Amino acid sequence: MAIKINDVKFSHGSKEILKGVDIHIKKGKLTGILGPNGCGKSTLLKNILGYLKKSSGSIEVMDREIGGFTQKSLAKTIALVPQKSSLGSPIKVEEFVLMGRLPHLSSSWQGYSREDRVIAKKNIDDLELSDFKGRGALSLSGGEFQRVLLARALTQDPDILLLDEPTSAMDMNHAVELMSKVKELVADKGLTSIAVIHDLNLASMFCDELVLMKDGRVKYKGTPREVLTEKRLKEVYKLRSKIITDDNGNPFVIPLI
Amino acid sequence: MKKTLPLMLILGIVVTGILSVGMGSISIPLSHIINPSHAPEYMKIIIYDIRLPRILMAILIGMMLASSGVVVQTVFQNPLADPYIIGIAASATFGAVMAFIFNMPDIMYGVMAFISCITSTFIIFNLSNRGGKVDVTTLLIIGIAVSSFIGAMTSFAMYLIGEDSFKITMWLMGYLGNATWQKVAILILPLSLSLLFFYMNRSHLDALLSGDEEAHSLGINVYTLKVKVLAVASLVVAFSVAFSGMIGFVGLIIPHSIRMITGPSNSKLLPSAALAGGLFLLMCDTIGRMILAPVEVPIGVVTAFFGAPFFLYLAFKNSGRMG
Repeated sequence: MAIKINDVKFSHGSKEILKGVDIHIKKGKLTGILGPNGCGKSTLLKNILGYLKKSSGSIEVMDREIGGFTQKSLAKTIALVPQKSSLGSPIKVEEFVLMGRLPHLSSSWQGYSREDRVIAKKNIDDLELSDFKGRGALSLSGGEFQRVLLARALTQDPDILLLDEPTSAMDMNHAVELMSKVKELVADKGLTSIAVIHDLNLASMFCDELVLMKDGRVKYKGTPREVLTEKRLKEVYKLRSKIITDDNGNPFVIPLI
Repeated sequence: MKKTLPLMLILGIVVTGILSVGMGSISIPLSHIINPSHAPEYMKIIIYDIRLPRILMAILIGMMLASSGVVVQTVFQNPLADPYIIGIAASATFGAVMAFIFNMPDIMYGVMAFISCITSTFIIFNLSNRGGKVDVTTLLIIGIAVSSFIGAMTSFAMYLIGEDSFKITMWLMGYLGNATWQKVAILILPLSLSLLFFYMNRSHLDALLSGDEEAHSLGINVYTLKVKVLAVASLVVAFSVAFSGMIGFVGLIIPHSIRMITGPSNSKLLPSAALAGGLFLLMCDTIGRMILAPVEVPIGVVTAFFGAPFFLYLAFKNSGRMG
C-alpha cells in the first residue's frame, strides 16, 4: 500500500472535522476523494501532507508512519498540486517550477544544480509549458497555471501526488486534458495519485478507485461502478440522479431536479 | 539590465561616494579626493575622520535596511511590511534610548535595541498570524498600536532625561553625523552575517512567496524559517537604528523598486536591493548635507520625503498581494 490511513481524527478548535477515517490507497492507482462541501476532503489531504497534525489515528506513507519522516524526506515522497496557489508575486514559470527541487538541494549556498535545472526543464517541456517559461506565472490563465503547479509537483520527483480540486477553475476541455495527463503519469511512472474532485463524471472517467466521504467519515469506497449509484448519491449528496454507463461501463451521473 | 544591475549599482556607489567626499560646508577638490596625500592637513582630517566613515556608514545602514525590508516583506507576504511601518524600528529606538539613559558603551546600544526589537517582532508576528497567513490590515493596525505604545514609553524616557533629550530628538530623526570608524567596524559584522544568512536561504524564501502550505509541501519548515529570518532581520534593524536613529522607508522603497527590475526571486533581488539601499541612503545623506548647507537636514526627513508618497502609491495600488 502507498498510504494507510487508520482511524484518523482531526479537530479544529472544538469542531471535529475528521471523525475516524480509514482508507488504504494502492500503489500506482489514481484514487478520487469525493463528497459534499465541508465533509473533510481537503483536510484529509492536508493531514496526509503533514501540514495539519491529526488528533489521533495513524497515517503510514510507503509503509512508514508519517511522523518518522523529516519534512525534506516527506517532500521527496509526496507532492501537492493545490486547488489555487497563494502565489502573489510575478515569479517566472521556470523559477516557479524549479522550486520543486527544493527538497533535493544539497547545499543552500550553491543553490540549484545543473541536474535540477534539467529535471525542471523536462517537466516544463512534458507539460507543454515551454512557450511560457519566461513569463510571470501570475499572467497565465487558470488552466495554464494549474499545469505549472503540476510541473512543479513532478519536479519534486515524488512517489505520491496529491491533487486538491485541481480542475475546479477549468473549463471542461482543460479539465479533461489535465486529468488525462495525471492518468498518463500514474500509468507511465507508476505514481500513486490522490485527487479531491467535485466533478463526479470526471472522477468516474479517470479514477481507478473512489472514496465517498460525508461528515468527516468515509461512507463508501470501491471502483466508480461500485461507488456511484443513485441510492448512494442520494444518501451522501441528498441528490436525485440518474446513472447511465458508457461503452466501457463507466457510470455517468445526470442530476435530476 | 538585470545582469548588469549589481555592477551598475556598485559603480553608482563609487561615483556618489567620491562626489560625496568632496561636498559639504567645506568643498574638497577632486584632485585631493583622488590623491589625499597632497591635500592640506585639515582636509585630510575632514576626508578620513568625518566624511569617509559617514559615507561608509550610510552605505552599510542602507544595505541593512533594504535587505531586511526584502525579507520582512517575504515573511509577511506583503509589500507594505517595512520594519518601520509595522513598529519593529520603534521598539529598537526604545532599546537604544534605554542604553543612552544608562550611559552604556556603543555596542550596547545595538544589543539593547536588538532585545527590545526582537521582543516586539515576535509579538507582532504572532498577533497578526491567522492560520499561517498574515492579514495586512491586522498587521498595520498592530504596527500602529505597537509603535504608539513604544513611542509613548520612549517619550517618557526622554522626559526623564531632561535637558540632554535634544541629542535623542536629533538622533530620532535619523542622523549619520556621529559616524566613526569604530561604529563602521561594529556594523560590518551584523551586515555580513545577515546578508550571508539571507542569501543562503534565498531559495527557501522564494518558496514562501507561494504561501505557507505550498512551502511546507516543498519540504520547508515554515515556522522555523520565519522565526529565524525575523530574528536576523530584527538584529539588522536594531543595529541600524542604534547607530543612525529612525531612517524610515528605505526598506519599503528599495525592495519594491528593485523587484520591478529583477523580479521577486531572492537570488537576484537580495544582492541588488542591498546595493541599491546603500546607494539610496548615501544619496539621501548627501542631499541632506547639501540642500540647506551649512544647516543639515536629518537623513530620516529626506528618506521620508521620498518614502511617504511612495507608501501612499503602494497602499492605493496594492490589494494585499506582492506586486
